[in-house]
Amino acid sequence: MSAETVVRSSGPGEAVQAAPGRKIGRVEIRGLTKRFGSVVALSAVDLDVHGGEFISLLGPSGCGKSTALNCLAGLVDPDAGQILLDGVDLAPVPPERRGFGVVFQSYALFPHMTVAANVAFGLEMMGVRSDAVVRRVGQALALVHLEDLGDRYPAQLSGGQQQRVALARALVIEPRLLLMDEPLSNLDAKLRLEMRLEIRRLHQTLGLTTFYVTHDQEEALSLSDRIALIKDGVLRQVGTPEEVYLHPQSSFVANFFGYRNLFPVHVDAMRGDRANVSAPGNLRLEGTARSGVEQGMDAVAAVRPEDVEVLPAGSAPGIAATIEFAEFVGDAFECSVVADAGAPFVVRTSARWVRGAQVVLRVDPDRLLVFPPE
Amino acid sequence: MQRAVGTQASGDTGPVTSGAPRRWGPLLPIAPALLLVLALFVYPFLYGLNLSVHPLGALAKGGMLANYAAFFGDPRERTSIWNTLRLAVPVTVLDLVLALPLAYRLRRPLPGQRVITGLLVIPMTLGTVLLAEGMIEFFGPAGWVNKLLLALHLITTPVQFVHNYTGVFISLMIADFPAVFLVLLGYASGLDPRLEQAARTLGAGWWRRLRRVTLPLLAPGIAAAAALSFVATFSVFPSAVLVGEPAGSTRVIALAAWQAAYEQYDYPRASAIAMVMAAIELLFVAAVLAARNRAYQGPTIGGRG
Repeated sequence: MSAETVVRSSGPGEAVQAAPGRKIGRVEIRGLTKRFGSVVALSAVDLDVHGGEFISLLGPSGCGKSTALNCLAGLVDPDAGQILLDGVDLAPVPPERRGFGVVFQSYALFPHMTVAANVAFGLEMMGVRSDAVVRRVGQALALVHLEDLGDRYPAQLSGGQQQRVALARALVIEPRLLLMDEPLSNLDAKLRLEMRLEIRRLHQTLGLTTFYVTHDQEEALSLSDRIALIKDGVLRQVGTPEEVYLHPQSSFVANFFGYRNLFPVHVDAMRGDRANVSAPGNLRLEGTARSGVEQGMDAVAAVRPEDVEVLPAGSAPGIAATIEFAEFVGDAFECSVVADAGAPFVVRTSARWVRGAQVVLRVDPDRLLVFPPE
Repeated sequence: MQRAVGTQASGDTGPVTSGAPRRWGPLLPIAPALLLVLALFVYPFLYGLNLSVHPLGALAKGGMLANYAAFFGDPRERTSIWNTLRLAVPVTVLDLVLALPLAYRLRRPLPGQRVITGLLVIPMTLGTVLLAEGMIEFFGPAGWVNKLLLALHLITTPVQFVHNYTGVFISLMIADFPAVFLVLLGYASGLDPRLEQAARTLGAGWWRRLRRVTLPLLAPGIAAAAALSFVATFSVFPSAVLVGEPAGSTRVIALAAWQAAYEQYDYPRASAIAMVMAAIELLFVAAVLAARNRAYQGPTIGGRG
């Protein structure tokens, strides 16, 4: 089996191999489906993950990403489909024999055990000799910079420290897969950034195949080799951070990656991938059509705040609009603008505009994406 | 403690009212309970303790501890401790063993959970006397239990279930179960299911999850239930008389105290017996709490985050 693994995983995956030596931990998800009553949490999800790859499952809360992770961990039984790890079906393997490291959103540290005992737990379950347990617990705690806190109880630690213990506990068993369920969502912004770097460092050091569930696109972009976007249990797009950021295939994905201006349009004419669209209030715009857009259909147009040009009224042709308010956001101003025709836009400008200022908005047709309706 | 804003205008009254009352203010809500404890527990306890060291009659010249010496010197009196312990300990243990899996099962909403929980708690609403009357009928020689066993040919003559040790044992089991169950249910429903899932993903099968995670986390609840149950059953009185054998095997310590007080009218002696009873209960509770601390060493709060 291992020979086959080496051959198979040196295919399209090698570009994203984090640690070159690591050739196991290849996951194939086939038609994974899970219903809870009448709610479809996962609908025929197919996903191939290379050994050592860091993949984020990204989507709004309730989209099914946590269910997918629980299916991988074995804590939820799928209704249909299978998950293969290095070619072996996981269905008959109970969670306690999968040997995956799981980091829960709430960390789920054992409150009645010290930090060291928490980390040692998995090794003891594996029957590791006690002197080896002590050594490996020490190494794992050193890996997350907690070597001095082994005698503490979880309740005596800060959120960030608890997070590190959870990581150490998952990593010490040398898992075949690392599964993380929104591990940073309980931390404050500064700590979140720090732990993000830490997780990235650990992944680069250990090269573990990692599934990372999050609803934070920034986390997903910065950490992942690839991002899988899920909506209503359906996998909508899988790609590298650059791909999903620059080439969203749907308005859902576009909305996740900074296309804050989404509005319904009608496609009046098509010339190649150029689309002439009209928005409510008789706004006429030119944009770039994504696949599935046809002349005469109702579609969705999307543009990022920074891709809308704001000029003084009368200086150029464009959409006449009024500044509603401007927020200073550090490196720029974010303004809410209402077109005279009634449509609101969020724009990002380097100039400070005052409330009530008359402006014209211009959008480069390359930067206005037109998607088929969701 | 502040007066309404309107009256503040009059000047000095504000600072005057906010001195001592503000410091003691937080204690006010617990004052009624505190008074009740003082009046109904501390005072009677000290009164009884004082009474017990002032023996009456022939024992008066035996010194302060004559009542205690008499109790422990008389085999019949002494045996009442054993009679009570051999009810209270097994009943407590058995109720815990029965209630624990039920409470664990019912910790999350299940279909019909309310009905099941309701049924389990009903015995609490029955008084001991009503329960005893019912038992005499139900478990009596012509009761349903014997009829059923006879019909199934499991026995040939009716079995004596009441007016002996068995009767009191059953009665205590039934009366005591709801409290044990409810205490455990409270603790079990507070268990974070993620902890067991975490243990599972770390390779722990059901037995090791139970022993290493679930039971230690439930230890405070088990200790509380055990202490409550033991204290309640150790002070058994009505059922020992009504469905027991009060002259023999179920002459419990509470009965010994009652007889001293109301058959021999020796209050100091009765008080001494009550003190012995309190001491044993206290010892048991202390032992249970010590055992709990061994099982659960972590902080008692903040563990569910």
